[in-house]
Amino acid sequence: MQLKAALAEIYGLRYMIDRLDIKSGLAHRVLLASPFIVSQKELQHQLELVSSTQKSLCDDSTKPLLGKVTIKLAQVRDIGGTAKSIQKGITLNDIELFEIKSFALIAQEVKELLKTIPFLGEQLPSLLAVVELLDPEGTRIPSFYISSHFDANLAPLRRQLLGLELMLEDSTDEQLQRDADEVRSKIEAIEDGVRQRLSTLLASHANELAKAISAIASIDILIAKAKQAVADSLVMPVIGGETTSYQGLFYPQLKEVLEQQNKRYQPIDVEVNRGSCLITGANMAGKTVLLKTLALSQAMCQYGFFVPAQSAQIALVDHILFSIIDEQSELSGLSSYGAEMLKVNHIVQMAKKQHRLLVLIDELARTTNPTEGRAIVNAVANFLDECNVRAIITTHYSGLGAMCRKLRVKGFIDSSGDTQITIRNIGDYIDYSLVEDDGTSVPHEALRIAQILGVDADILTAAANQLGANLNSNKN
Amino acid sequence: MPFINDILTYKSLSIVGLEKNTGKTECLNYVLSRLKDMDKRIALTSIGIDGESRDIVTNTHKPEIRIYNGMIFISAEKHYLQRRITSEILDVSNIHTSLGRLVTARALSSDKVMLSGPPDTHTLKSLIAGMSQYNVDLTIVDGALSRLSLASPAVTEGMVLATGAAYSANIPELVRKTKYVIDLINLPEVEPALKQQLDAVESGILAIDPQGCLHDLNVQSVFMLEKAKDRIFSHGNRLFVAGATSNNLFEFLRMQKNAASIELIVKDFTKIFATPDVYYSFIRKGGTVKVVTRTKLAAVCINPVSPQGYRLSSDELKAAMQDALQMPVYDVKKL
Repeated sequence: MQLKAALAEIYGLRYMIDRLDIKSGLAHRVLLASPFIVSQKELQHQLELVSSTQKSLCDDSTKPLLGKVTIKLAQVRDIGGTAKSIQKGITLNDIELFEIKSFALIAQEVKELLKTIPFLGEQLPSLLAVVELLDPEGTRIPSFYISSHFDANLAPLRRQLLGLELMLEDSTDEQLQRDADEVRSKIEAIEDGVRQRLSTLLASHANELAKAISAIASIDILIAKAKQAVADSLVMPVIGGETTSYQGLFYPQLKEVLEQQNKRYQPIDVEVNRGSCLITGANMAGKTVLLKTLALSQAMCQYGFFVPAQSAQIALVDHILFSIIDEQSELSGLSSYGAEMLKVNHIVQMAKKQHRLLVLIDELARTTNPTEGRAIVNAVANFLDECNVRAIITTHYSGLGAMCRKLRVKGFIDSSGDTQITIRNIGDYIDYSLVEDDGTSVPHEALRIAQILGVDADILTAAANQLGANLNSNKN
Repeated sequence: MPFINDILTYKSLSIVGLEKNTGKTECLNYVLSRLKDMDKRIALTSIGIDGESRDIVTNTHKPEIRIYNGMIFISAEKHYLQRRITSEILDVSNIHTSLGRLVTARALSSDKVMLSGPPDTHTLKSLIAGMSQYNVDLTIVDGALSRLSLASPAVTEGMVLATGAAYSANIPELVRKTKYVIDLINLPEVEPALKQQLDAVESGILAIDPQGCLHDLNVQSVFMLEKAKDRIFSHGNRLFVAGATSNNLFEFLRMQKNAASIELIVKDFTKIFATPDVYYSFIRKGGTVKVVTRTKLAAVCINPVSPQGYRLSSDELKAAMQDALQMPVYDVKKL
């Protein structure tokens, strides 16, 4: 799956991509087309490049050079289309020749600047031959026209035309006009010849050009990724093992929003093992955010980014499969339960075929009755556990019999005394960290949270009474 | 050499015709032919791209502009590739118009060129500003006064206005219509502090209170004014309209009790689409109109010949025009 498609599926990924300081439209296009890397060797290479770029960015001897490179990168035009025309043997027009020339000049300058940062510079082939072809005068100025250096016959003809035009300014003599037109068509024929010759010669450099285009894009992307890694405190993941384990995992978008409001953000530690894992926890305890963060982090890693954590070890997967409820399904004519079941079925079918999967299911079967819902959760959890995929399922159901790992978000901290918990400070009274749990009971904080949110007391009292009555009747 | 020296005092100049065939192209060609022998670097562009097709409709010759060796010109890709002139590409912008990207080039011979330019005011402004990197002394914009054009020629420092028989074949009528446009061009600018604030506002209607604070009235355009009539003067009598202003607005303002103390501010004079009678009756009631960006009128040119075949007396028209406008007027055919 290309990054472009993942943007629509992985929550928070667009936020990270939008914040990348990519300089050229070319690099942006290449970035959006980048693949989800499943080969450990390839991904390791990518991540190491980001790491080396990050080191160069932080090193005082190379930092200014990279600054200059980024200025150059900002001038790059996307000549992907023109490069294709070259390969197909189409004769280029002046604008396309100008683009090739200015691209080649920039690429050469970038290559020169990157001499002392070889791991970046080496990707870039020399385009000196292209520059010399399009800049026969050797001025190295990024402007272009079919000058007389391309064909010695042009200069005298152009001089002749200039003379005729001067005469024509004060005369309407038809013979003069005809002469001028004849000279013009001669010039035009020579110019067209030059364009054809240049295009043919450029075709023999098509490979270097294509390589240079992707190298320029890659350098731009690497610098942007490395800058983002520094700015957002991302970390290089250790990849390839069998464990996925994060210390200090965070969701960048939420972290920033909370920090802007001077609120606390609590990063969490989590392990994602093979087999199923059920997570319970109070409402507002961050279960959904946890799933989104795990998906985001896995995706960022496998698209060659550093990940939002203090340290991370990530086992590679072939697919990230996600079922989350806040999606619109009415338009497809399905109830939210219907849409969810189809999605879960898709996950089950995938899990039958392959086990390198990260499966994240948010509040499975919550929109149906608890009896059947509980049964579905047990069935899915057991099935995914047997398939040995990495699956995390959040739920509010208690007493789940599935024989898999169970975790619980710690939830409310017992607030001592005087501070009133309100909707504004509620985040300060929740411990978002995960603990192992047996799953026999789940937190019963729904009424308390409703109260904090300011829900009408009539309802709360009535609900509390109902609970009391149920408890009594159970005792009896 | 009339008005050329005046023109050279500006960094940017638009040449604008009140109607097709009012002699804008002749005027522009005259200006360029005079400028070519001066030691000045000239850049040329145009507003919009609709010139070509409309000329096919009226069946008059295409408005090609004669460009001289060394001048810089901007044209869209399609027109650039059709050129006959020898020229060197200096830049290809990322701005896309319906005729392709904008190409900046330096002429290496002298010939006629089809100009086309930025489609909106913002791009035009930044394009003019960007000419300084080529050490350009004067940027000339082949302009258009039309509600079809999104780019306003009023962003240039100076303006040359071309008017003539094509606009009206009756001398008093032509003078009156031209005088109206010139009255609008000469509208005073708001104070610098307010100008800076309003420059950034791209849409909506704002009230300006006596302390100079802006209040958005949450009205998208004057056509939605009906809904906000009751709130319009809740912050005083100064109003800023970012978009077009119509007869409706001027009539509404004129009828208010406080008409005499109302001050209407528009982006520039091209945003006023009221007819002369409606505009002047608001002014007669004591209302004030100001602009955020004012352009200075450098010259008025007349073309006494219309494409329908009317031919007015050049001298009579010139005299009547000078008398009404109190400024020199030039006949493009005699320049």
